[in-house]
Amino acid sequence: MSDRMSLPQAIGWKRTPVVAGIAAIALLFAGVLLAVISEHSYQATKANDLAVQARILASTVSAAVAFDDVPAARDNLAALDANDAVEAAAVYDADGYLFASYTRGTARLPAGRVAVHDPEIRGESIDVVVPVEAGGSGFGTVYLSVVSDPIERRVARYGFFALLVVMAALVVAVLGIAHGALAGVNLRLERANQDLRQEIAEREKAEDALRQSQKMEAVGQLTGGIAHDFNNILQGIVGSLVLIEKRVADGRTTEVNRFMTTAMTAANRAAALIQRLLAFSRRQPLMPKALNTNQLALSMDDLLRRTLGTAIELRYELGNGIWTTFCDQNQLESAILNLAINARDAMPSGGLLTIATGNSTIDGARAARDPSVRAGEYVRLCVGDNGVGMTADVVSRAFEPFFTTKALGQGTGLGLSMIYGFAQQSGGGARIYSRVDGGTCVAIYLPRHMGAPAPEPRAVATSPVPVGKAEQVLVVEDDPIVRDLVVDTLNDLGYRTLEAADGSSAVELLRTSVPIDLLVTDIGLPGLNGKQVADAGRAQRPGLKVLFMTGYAETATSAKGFLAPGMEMMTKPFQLDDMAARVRKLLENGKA
Amino acid sequence: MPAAAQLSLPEAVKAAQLYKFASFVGWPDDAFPSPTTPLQVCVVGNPTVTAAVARAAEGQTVNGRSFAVRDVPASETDTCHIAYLSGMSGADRAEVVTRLSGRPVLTVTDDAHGSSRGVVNFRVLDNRVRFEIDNAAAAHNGLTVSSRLLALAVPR
Repeated sequence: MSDRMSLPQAIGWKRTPVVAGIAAIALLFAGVLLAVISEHSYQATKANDLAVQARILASTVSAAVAFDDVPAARDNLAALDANDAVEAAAVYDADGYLFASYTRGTARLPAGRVAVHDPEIRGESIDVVVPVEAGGSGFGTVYLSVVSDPIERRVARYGFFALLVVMAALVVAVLGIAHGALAGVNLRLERANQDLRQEIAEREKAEDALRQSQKMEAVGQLTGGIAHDFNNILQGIVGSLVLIEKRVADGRTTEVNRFMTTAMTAANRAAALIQRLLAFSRRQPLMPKALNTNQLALSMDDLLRRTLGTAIELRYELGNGIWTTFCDQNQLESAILNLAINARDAMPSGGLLTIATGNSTIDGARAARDPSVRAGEYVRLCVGDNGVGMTADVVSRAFEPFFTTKALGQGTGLGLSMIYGFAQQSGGGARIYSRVDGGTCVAIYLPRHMGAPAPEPRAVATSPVPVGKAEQVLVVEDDPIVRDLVVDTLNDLGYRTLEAADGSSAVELLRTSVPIDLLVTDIGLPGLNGKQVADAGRAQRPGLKVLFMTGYAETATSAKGFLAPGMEMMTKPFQLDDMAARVRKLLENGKA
Repeated sequence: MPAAAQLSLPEAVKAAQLYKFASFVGWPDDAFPSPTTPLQVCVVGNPTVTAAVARAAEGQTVNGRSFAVRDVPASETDTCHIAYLSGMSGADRAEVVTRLSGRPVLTVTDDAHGSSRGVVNFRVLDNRVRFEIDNAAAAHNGLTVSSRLLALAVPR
């Protein structure tokens, strides 16, 4: 947009030197014109002066001519010697014969007779011939010739003026050119600025993309460990179920409970793992909250051990009475995981990884020595290894974006820079302590938060599962296993149920007059989706209670926008007890 | 012309110059009856000179007037504008000059001395014809003499 706006200006800038040139030429032209007019006027005055002078001379010599007194006439002419301009003068009698004459230097009289005429310019002189008269009678003629100004005197007369005009024209021209040049530079600067802004915007976009890919890379790192772990979990569940089956077949039902607990624990671990992965890979802004660093570090134990592998020993050195800090939990987890991965890569043949926490007060003097962290109170979290370490040069560049020592394709070079950015954004900072072959320690400083940490979601105390009162529930779910599970659970609780495997059959049921107190529907359905089913149901039965189920975290987040009163959302996998509580709550609220 | 042949060179020059005095002398207005009245040039007692003067002045004008050249007796010089007392000498000449004094007449004499000198008195000096001018007498006669003419006059 600014490009278009600057276009007329650009044209104006280009025109300026041309305008200045025209102005300069006009100035010169005006100067020449003035000089010509002035010269013309000067010549006219000069000619007039000459005529007057000649008439005075004619009058003076009139008696001398009349009475044939040549010496007197010569005396009169000799008086002209006082006037430098006079070149020649002559007096002719009535018959045209030369009576007396005067010449200066090499000047000559005109040959032959002369006729009376007005002043005429001949080369560098002006001459005139006037009659000699007295009492109305003519006695002869007088010729007078004066030198017109020599070229030097004319140059001198107009030289100063010409110099002024030329100087003025030059000044105008130079100013114009200078202005044009300046404008050109401005234009180039503006274009360069635009290019730069565009480049910055593009780079920001690329950085966004890389940040996301960095996260995905971390997810990828996790997956290797998790796949193995998931098999273990499944082994636990499947194994327990097999054992239960055998015990039930043998009639030894007393031992069933133990295996069921094992299977449930394993399943819960799987659910927690999935939640964490989803949360980890989700795009989300910083959502800082008060948290305890020690608890967070310990909660990542499983994840870290799986990521690090067995060759690396993981040790915690957690400070006592750790202060509460205030930051985004996911980001901090991501940071710890990234640092752990870096540490693992620095110890290719195994080693010791230490996660240490502690309170740290940075005073003004220390902040002045190392400005990466401002003075203040912080919680210090340090991830250290006893690996290969880094040179001072690498340390000084480690926080730079895209700086990596890893092989091509193995690292984005964004990990440490993102950690640095996260720490800065959270009001803290980050530092690296490293020595070649002496290991590395990356310390994250997070500001102390005055307040209690947010309460950890605690396992809800087992309370009696609310039972149904024979309300009719329509369950819509395309996965038969999940559908059966939900239907069986609801029947067990004392609800009556209707089933539908897809959206359109659900809508058909809703259009009938069969009483339906609650709609439980999956969102991701073939054909009509859960949202459309709910809309159709409400169109038919205003105020219909709806409980949505979804397996996609993304959907759960975005669906919050369309939840109307009397609707709720449940994320898979869910505990059946939790479902029972929600179903009861929805139905009870409707009655209130 | 035989008459002309009788004149000496100075006489001829004087005859040729006589009418020219009119161009450098101003007469009072009442000296002329009308603007076109010819200027009366009288020559006393010398018909040869009269003829020469008449020839020189023929066709000439001064301020639009032509010249009327006459040979007159001394007693009839009162109405002249220029009276050339050429052929006179001594007491006669002095008598005429005295009589015309106070009248608008330019009296012209030859080599006169004392009271017989006219307003203009021809002299021949170094073989050249020159003239003296009595500006006081001219003023007494009511005549104004051009400074150009006065500049040419020889001192008395």
